[in-house]
Amino acid sequence: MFLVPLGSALIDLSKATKLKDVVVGFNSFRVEWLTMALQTITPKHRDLRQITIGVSYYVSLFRSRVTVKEIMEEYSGQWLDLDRLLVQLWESRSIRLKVCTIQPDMIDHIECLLPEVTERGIIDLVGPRH
Amino acid sequence: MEGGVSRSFNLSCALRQNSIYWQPEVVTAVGSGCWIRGFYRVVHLVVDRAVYPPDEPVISLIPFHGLSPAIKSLRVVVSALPSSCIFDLILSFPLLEDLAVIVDEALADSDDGLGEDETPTAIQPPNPPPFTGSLELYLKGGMTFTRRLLCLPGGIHFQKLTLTRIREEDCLMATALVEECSHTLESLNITWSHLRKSTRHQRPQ
Repeated sequence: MFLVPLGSALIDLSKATKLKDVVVGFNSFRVEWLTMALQTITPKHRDLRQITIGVSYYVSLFRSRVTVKEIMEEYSGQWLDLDRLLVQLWESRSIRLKVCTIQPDMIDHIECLLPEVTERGIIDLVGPRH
Repeated sequence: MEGGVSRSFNLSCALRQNSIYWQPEVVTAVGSGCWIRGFYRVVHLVVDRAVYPPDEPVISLIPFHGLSPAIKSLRVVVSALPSSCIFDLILSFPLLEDLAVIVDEALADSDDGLGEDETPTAIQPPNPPPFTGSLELYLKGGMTFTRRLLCLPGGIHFQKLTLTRIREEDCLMATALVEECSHTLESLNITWSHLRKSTRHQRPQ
C-alpha cells in the first residue's frame, strides 16, 4: 500500500491499470506526494505512455517571501527521490517524461532538482529559459 | 439554429448576450415546455453563468431539467450554487457520459442535509447516467457533491478525470474519484493547490 502524505488523502494508482497518461500540476516544491503516487504504478500499467509534471511556483514564492535557493535546499531530497523514480519508470517501460512550466528560470531549477533524468536526456523540459 | 435540429446548444450565449435567463416570461416559457423543449436532439449542453452581479437572484437550473433526453455531455459553469441544484440537473439526463462542473465559490452543501461523514439519503434515480466519458471538476469544498456522485447505484466509470485546483481539504475527494474510476481510468489530470505557508521561511516585514 502506498501512502500519499497530502493531508489525510492517499492516492493509489495501482488499480488504474488502463492509464495511458498522467498529468499533475502543483504550485509547490513539495513533491513527496507525487513520488508516492507514482510508486503505485506497477508492471500491469502496460498502456502508460506519458507522465507530465506542471510546475508553477511564483505565486507561492511571492506569498512566502523566500528565495528559490532556500526552497530548493529544503526540498532537494524529495526531488532526488522523484528523480530516481522517474529514471526507473523510463528504464522499465520507456514512459515519456515531461516537465512544463511557463515561468522564466524554472527550467534551470528543474534541471538542478532532477539531475539524473536531465543528464540522461530522458525528460522533455518545456518552458522559457534565459 | 432550428429547434429540434441542432445537436449543440450553448446556453451561455443566450444568457450573456440577452440576459434572457432573468426575464420571468422566458423562464415561464421554458418551464412550460415551449421553445426550449424543441431542442430534443441536443447532445451537448453548456450552462455558463460564471459572472453575475451579487444582487441578482440565485440561478435556477430547474427549467433545464431533462432539456433533451439525448444529452451526453454537460458543462456547468457557475459562480456559486448548492451542490444539490447542480446534481439534480445532472441526474435529469439519463444518457450523460461527460460531465464538467466548474464552481468558483464554495459549494453550499448545507442544504443537502448531509453531515461530513454522511452519505446521501435522497431517492436515487432508477436509471443513473452511465458516466463513461470524462469528468472535469473545479469545486471548492466539493465533498458532498462527490459523495453523491460516488453513491450512485450505477457507479461512475469515467475514462478521463480532470481535477483542477484541488486544495488540501479536497484531497479525499480526489482520491475517492480515482479509486472509484480505477478500472476504467485512462487519463488522469490533477492540479493541486495545496501549498501551506512554511512558517520557518517567513521573513520579517
